Amino acid sequence: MTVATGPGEGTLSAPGFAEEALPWLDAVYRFALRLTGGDTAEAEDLAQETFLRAHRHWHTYRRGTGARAWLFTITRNTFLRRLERLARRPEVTQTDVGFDIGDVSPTDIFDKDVALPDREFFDSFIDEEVIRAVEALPTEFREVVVLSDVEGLSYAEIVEVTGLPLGTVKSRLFRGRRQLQRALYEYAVEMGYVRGGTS
Amino acid sequence: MKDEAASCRETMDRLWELLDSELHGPDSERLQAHLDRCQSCFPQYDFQRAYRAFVASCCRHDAPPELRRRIFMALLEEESRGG
Repeated sequence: MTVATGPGEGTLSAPGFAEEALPWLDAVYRFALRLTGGDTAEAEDLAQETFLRAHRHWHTYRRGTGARAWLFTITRNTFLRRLERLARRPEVTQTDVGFDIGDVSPTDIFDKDVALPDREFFDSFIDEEVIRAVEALPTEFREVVVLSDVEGLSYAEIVEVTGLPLGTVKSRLFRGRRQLQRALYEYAVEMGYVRGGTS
Repeated sequence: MKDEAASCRETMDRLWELLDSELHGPDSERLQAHLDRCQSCFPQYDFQRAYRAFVASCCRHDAPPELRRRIFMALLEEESRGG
């Protein structure tokens, strides 16, 4: 079955592509935009390349298994290949090795002498400030934070997209969130949104 | 023992699994039971829950309509070339 999903110019004949892959165009673009650090032209090219590759390899996709994680995998691999071409490899960290989440409790998100802000803390920010803070995260933290907190992927799906072991995904998520919250907190103190200081 | 509420330590260790909907059944219930009555853990839970909702709402813009059109045209072109 083919379904017209475009703006009336024609129909795609790849079976199921229009129904299963194209609905994720916004999500793929958002992920691409965060990977490229907010470069819209790069992100658009990356999103287009993702869909062209996905279309070419559509026969390898198992229908009905949820194309989102499958597409994100292509987006990420395409992005990494582009970086290699530009000889701009993302920072590779060895810091996951031996890291135990149990060593740091979520109560240590802020320094021990700083009181946890109220949940209203988040109301002070405008979207651009948050996006800047997300984009300032190192790539290996940024991708897992975006996949989980923005796109809502499960741990298993993030493992599928990144090819990382589950423990590494959890540790990067934990540390990425912590770093993001700290950056937001410091920014909020600087801007006078909250009063810094000791509890 | 298994049905009792979780400890503070366990609740904090597994807080993100709970918030990320990775805990189910009895594990989730034990943590929820602890959070319902712990004045030190609940604010952490509440804050992180607010964080999650907040980040999702800030970064969820859609693709530009021209991009949607451009991608669709590129796919059609590839199919017409027999790709």
